[in-house]
Amino acid sequence: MAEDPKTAKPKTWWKRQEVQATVIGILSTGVMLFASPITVAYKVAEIGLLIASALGFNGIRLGVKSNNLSLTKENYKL
Amino acid sequence: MQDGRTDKEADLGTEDQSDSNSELVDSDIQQEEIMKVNPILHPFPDMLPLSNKLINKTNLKEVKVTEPNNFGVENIKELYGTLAKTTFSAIEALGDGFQVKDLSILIPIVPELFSLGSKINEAKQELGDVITKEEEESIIAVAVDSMAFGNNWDKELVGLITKQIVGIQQIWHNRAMKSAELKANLKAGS
Repeated sequence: MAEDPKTAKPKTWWKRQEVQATVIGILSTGVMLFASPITVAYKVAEIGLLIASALGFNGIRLGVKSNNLSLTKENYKL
Repeated sequence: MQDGRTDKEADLGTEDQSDSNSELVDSDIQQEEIMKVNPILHPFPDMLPLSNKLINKTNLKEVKVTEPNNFGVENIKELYGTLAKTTFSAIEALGDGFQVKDLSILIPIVPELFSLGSKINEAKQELGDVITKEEEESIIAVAVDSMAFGNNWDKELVGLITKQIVGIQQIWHNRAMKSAELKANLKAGS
């Protein structure tokens, strides 16, 4: 089903999991800074951080395997 | 304010009686009147609550729930298990760029989704109830079983996310209890 990582082509920047993880992580951290720990927003932000961690880990793993993790215009299709 | 007295104290007339001999000078009275009208001269009493909205986390208090556990979690387990299965299958079926690559994975889930319609009302009742630790663990077990993970990390992740969702349910439940209590008090008062 999945593409072979070694032959995988670089994706557009917003499709890359590490970029998505960074955005979700920043948003979640921002919410957690300002919200009370016993609010729904804080709990949702905690879920967001968990998802961001998983996405970031997977994105970096795939990037290392296919050797396209370096910040170049070609790798992130800017 | 400048004399160390708050506005409330000034309004209530709780002035310092010890120096009763001292009389208010005309300039002081004028200053008081100006301060009541002009908010710029009152920076702190009005400004502090606004800034506290961002940094003060002590305003909200946790409500302790003493209600008994009236309902189980059978319907919640079925709903959550099916939702977890659907999410897992959607991730499997959707490839890069959110394009459907393998539709055969998604088709078997459709009848299960339709059958859930009758259980939503009962699940709502269960969601309004207390969820104990044992029930939480059984929900996590159902979610993990419905998602065919290859490693333990993903199972741990699903467990942590489920715990947060149960936490949200508890906040929801507490708020519902609190609002019901307030309504009852209002009725009793009127």
